This record gives sequence, C-alpha cells and structure tokens, in this order.
Amino acid sequence: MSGNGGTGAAAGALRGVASHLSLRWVAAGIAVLTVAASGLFGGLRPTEKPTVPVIAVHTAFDGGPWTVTVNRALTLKTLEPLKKTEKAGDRWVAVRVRMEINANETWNRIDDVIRLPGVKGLRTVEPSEFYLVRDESLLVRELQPGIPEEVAFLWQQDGSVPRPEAMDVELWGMTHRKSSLTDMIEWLDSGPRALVLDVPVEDR
Amino acid sequence: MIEPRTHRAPRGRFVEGLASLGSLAGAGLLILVALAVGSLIPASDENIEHRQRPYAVQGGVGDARSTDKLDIRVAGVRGAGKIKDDDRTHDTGGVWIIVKVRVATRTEAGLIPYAAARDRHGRIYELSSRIEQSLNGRMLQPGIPLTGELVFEVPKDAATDLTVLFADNSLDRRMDRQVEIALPTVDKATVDRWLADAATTLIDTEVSTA
Amino acid sequence: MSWWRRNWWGLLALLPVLALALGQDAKEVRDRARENPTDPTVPIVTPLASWVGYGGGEVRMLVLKEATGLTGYGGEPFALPGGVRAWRATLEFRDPDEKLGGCQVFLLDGAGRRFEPDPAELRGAKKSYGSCSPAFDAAPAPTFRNDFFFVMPSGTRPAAVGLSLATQHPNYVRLVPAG
Repeated sequence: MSGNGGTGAAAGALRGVASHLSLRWVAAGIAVLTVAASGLFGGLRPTEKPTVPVIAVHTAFDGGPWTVTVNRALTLKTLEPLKKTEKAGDRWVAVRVRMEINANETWNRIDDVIRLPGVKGLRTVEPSEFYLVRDESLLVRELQPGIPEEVAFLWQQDGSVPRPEAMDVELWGMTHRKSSLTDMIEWLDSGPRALVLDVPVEDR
Repeated sequence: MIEPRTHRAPRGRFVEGLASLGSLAGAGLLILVALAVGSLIPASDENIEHRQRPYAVQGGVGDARSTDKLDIRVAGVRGAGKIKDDDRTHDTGGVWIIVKVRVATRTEAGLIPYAAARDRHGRIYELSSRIEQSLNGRMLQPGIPLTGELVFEVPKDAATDLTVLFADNSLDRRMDRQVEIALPTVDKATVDRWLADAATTLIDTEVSTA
Repeated sequence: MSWWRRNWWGLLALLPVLALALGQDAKEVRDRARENPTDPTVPIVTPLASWVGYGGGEVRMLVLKEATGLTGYGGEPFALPGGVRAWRATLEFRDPDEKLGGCQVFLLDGAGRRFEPDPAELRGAKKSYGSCSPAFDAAPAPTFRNDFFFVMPSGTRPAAVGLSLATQHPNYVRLVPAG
C-alpha cells in the first residue's frame, strides 16, 4: 500500500516501532500518559472540602427540600421529663430553627439538615433528637409541606467536655435531580451548603 | 421435468456487492430506526414517573371504591384549628382536615396501609403523627367495616381543594391501584370559620352498622 | 433463496416479542416479584384432635366453636358490636424443645380470608391471649393448652385454623374442625 510522502514515512515508522512493543509496554505507556494528562488538568490536587457560603443567624436558607432559619443555640442540663441522656452526666446541645418544607410530600428525613462540625464531645454526628416546639414533643419526626414550624435539633454531649460558648452551625441541603438508579426525580446529594459562624450558646 | 429455479442474468460483481451492502444497510437502518423510536419513549424524565404512576380509581364523598386490599367509602369531612387529644389541645400553623371514613379489609387482617391528602398542586400530606389516630392504628378484620376519622394537617391555602388517596403499599405505590376521593371544595371563609371554632374532639373508631 | 431462509432472523426476533406482548404485563411481573416466596401457602391438613409434627414440636386442635358467654372484667356480659361473632379455638401443644413459641395462629374462612387473634373488637372482654408457649407460671407438663379468640362477620363460618412458623414456610399447619 502506498502512502503519500511524509505521512506514509511516519506511518511506516510507527508501524515499525509498534511491531516491536509488547502489549504490556503499550498498556504501561497509556497508563503513564493518562496520569500525566489528569495531572495537567488538576486531577492530582488533594481534594479539599468545598467551601460553603457564610450566612448570618436569623437568615432564611433554602437547602432544597427545606428552608431553615437558625435562631438560637443552647445547652441544656436536662430534657426531662421528655428524655434522659444515654450517659449520666451528659448535657444536651440544641439549635433552635424555623423550618419549612419546600418538598412536595410530607418530609421525615430530618437527620441531614444541620451539623455542628466544630463541637467536641458530641455523641453522634447527626442530631439524636428532633423537637417540635408547638407540641413540646420529641415524638414527631416529620413536617408537612408549606407549614413553617419552630423546631430544635438536639445532640448529646459528653459532660466532661466544657460547654461551648459559641459554635458554628453547618446547614445542609439536597438537590432535586434524576436518580441514576431509579430514573426518577428524587432529592439527592445531601451535604453541607452553608455555614452560620459563631452562634452564641445560651446556658440552660 | 424439474423446473429450474428462477434464472437471472448474473449481475456485475460491483452491483452484486452494492446490492448485498444495500440489504445489509437497509436492515441496519431499520434496526437503528426502531431503536431510535424506542429510545424516545423513556427519554423524557416525566415519562418514567408517568408510566409508573398508580392507577387512579376516582370517586367522591359517599362513593364506595376499592383497592386490592380495602373497601373504602368517605362519609364526610370537617375542618378545625384545634384538636383535643387525651392530654392536650393541638393547634396548627395550617388547618386540620378530619375525614370520616368507612373502611374494611377484603381478604387479610391488617392496618390501613397508606392514606394521604393531595392538594391541587399535587403536594402530598400524609396522616398526621402529631395526634393519636384511632382508625389509622386499628387492625381491620376481613369483612368487618369500621367507621372512624383520618386526620391530616395542611397549609391554609391547600385546605380549599383536596383529594384523599388510599393505596395498598406505603413504600412503593408505583403501578398500584390507588383510590382518589375528591373532597368538596370549600371557600376561604369556611376555612377561616374552621380555624375560629373551639377545639374539637375526634370520634371513636367503631364497627360500622350497615 | 426461500422466503424462510431470508427471513429466519425476523422470525427468531418475533418469538421474544410475542412472549412480551402476550405474557404477563409489567404489573403482573412486579406483583409476582413482590410475592414473598416464603409465605405460608402449602397446607399440612390435619383433622380435629389429631397431632401433627411441625417445626420440631407437635400441635393439635381440640375445639373450634363460637365463643358465647364472654364477659367484661367486671363480670357483666360483653356486648359484641353488631354484625360480628366471636370464635374460640383451643389448641394443645407438645413442645419440650420450645420450637413453636414464635408461631402465628390465624383463622380461615371458606373463601380463604385470614383473621388474626385477639382483635380490637374483643378489647375489654375477659379472655386469655393466644400464644404457642405455656403460661410462664405454669408447672412443667408434657402438654399445654391455649385458647385463641377471633371475630368474624356474622354469617361467616370458620373453615380451618392455621398455624405457621416463618422458618417452615411455605408449609403451614391447617387444622380443620372435622375428624
């Protein structure tokens, strides 16, 4: 087969080289090139936590399925008669929030609304209790769409750790998109979306 | 005498090649067209939800309707701003919608698997867990109908136009038969009147007569 | 080339297409997949008063009759709601290895409807609670008996009492009131 001039010579040279390479070398070469290429495009930077916007207390934040407004933070020595801490001597850390459901259905996924990332000695990462102020109850763990409610998220904290004077409150959110699993539109991608810095913590 | 098979003049090799390529391409083209048409059907996001939606069995107050598991008849509806429970009065930031229902299970003892209210925007309000609901927690025995009340909590602007939904499965209602009972629409003045009324008490769940 | 030889591929493709078109629709397939293959569907039919071995223990039915004469806790007659009748099944167990404790007992009518014991309609009636274990304060004995109470709509008669253990599904014991 005849090529035309230069390209023909290059092709011929390549073919010559290729015929001397084993498959293993070719695969290794491709791997090296791939890593180098991804490095060129920033793929090798250590992944940092994405920064989220800072908002003020008493500011409504739309997290997707819900809109929350952080109003107060407190520590409480006791929640009785409603509940006792699992470990004696522990205290409760509470964030009081106004919450409204934007989703189109009764919402009971309340574990991923809020976090206290910098607070030491919390027994769980997610809040362990959800308090509905209107009913003074820990037993209602869902909200109806379109009816804003005053609620509190509560964590149990190791009593031997000093109580926080101020804390950062991290607000989470979700995205409404098509699930690759079910092909239906769902609320997914739960994660931090905003931060309220240095909320003063009342002592009760 | 044996008839020879159809005798055609031999075509040139080029034409032969083109013809076989043509029929192969033709078949390939047909396959591609079929795939393309087929892929268009599930392509839209809306279509998955739509294709797998529950089958609606519609009715109004007083109509007898059934799912596979239940026989249902909504008897009436009232609204309230406050409901008295054993130990306390429960107010609301929306409206309490109290639906009187006659219900029986058809073949197996069980609870009402799923009941919810849907507003005109399609938002869904499940049975309220803020108050004790005697009908919702009641074990139904086959063929023994019960009358009781189901309580929903909805925003004020949703209260004027609601449909009550019943299904046999709470987690996966895709493609199930779903009973949808349209409640009579009410005006805003009625909703305001409900909210202004004194606290109301729910009726006891009882075995229905007749 | 004959028509068949030219079109064999289309005919082959037709087979699965026909199967999909004429076979179960999506809903039926989904329902079948949802059916729990470990439900109690295969009866071990056992006549009245006969022992049957099941799950490592033995059981028999001694009585299946309408429960009349129920009283409340104060001794007053217990009024059933209108249109409802109460039924009692007495079961006897021989279960030294305590294999039957986690059983489910239910009442079946001729149409196969399934009724659960201790229904809300009998709340307030003075009666024992059905159980496949001996009373916790009972002296050890080779056999023990327990009563199971049910309600059915008036005009419906029981056809059998079912007893099942999840570990034995799909087999279940079908205790019939005839000898």
